[in-house]
Amino acid sequence: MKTAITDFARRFGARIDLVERLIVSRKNRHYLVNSVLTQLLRKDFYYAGIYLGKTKDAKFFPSFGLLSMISKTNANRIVVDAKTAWLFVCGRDIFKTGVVQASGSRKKDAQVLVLNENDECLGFGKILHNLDKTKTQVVIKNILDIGDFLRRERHARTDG
Amino acid sequence: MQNKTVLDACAAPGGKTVQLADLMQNSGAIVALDIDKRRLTALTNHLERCRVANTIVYLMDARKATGLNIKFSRILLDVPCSGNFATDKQWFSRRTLEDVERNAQLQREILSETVNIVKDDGEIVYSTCSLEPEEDELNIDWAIKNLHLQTEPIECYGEKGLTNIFGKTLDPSVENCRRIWPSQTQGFFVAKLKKRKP
Repeated sequence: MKTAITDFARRFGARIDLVERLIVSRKNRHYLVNSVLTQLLRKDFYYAGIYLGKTKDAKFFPSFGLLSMISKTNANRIVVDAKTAWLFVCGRDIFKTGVVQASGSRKKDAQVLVLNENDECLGFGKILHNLDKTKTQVVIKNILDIGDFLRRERHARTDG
Repeated sequence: MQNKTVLDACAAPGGKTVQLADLMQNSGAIVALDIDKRRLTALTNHLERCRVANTIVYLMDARKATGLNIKFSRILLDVPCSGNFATDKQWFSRRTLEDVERNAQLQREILSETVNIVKDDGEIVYSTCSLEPEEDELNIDWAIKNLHLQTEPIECYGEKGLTNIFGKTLDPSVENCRRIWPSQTQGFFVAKLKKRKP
């Protein structure tokens, strides 16, 4: 499992070091526990420690906890202004004018973490146009944002 | 609360679990149980959203908690209850005395189970959002008399627990509980319990 997570981090040009024995899985969901939780953990747990993400059809879907951990490394990242941050968590893409700061890869097709000005990771996206060459266009396509917490509850209510 | 081992026996949807984790500054361990799988989804969403890192969740009936083989230093029993009219306008037409008595019995069963897994110097916090004495003071009085528990004073607003109910006089220490009548908040009842020293 560690490989899928480190491979995912590499998409942002980052290296993340997780201790294999502290990663536990239940069905297709993966968690990072600490040594205290390890001592108390039974096989039939439902959730434990920090949720890292899930695998589905051999694809890895990260959690926001994992994205936040990656954002603390030297990953590709952009910082956006308050208005853009709000639009992003509502599921919108990002215009160049909303980008306050960018570090790491700025090239087309690279994946970047999106942070607000308080250094909080809001999600991630894909660069549509080289950040250095464009001035006004949509530059980041939204792939995942923290508004998902609200959207998934709405879906759960509809399903339930 | 740091580095304690805490049981949240009826945890979903997780608001109190997150508050516990915050009090513990994400240290130690919380074991959170709930019997309803659908409600566990809400609980785990809360844990993920609030970056809680010290919690293990089990789909488990609190009445089977001894199976965990863990001794806890703190136990939160926010037990299933009948609720109250402040949050449910149709409460009086929806609830019967039998419902209240059934809930009171379930609450006693949960209390009895958790007494076996609290450490000798540990603490149990029992709470409900019911205003029915059967689920509140009468259960605490029963626990004092049958489970060798004692109440502890709590620093919390609200009024003293009732000690004269339905013509019955309860243990005077039931006064240590807090009964919060619906006014600025919805109704609530809370008690802190410890094992009585032999």
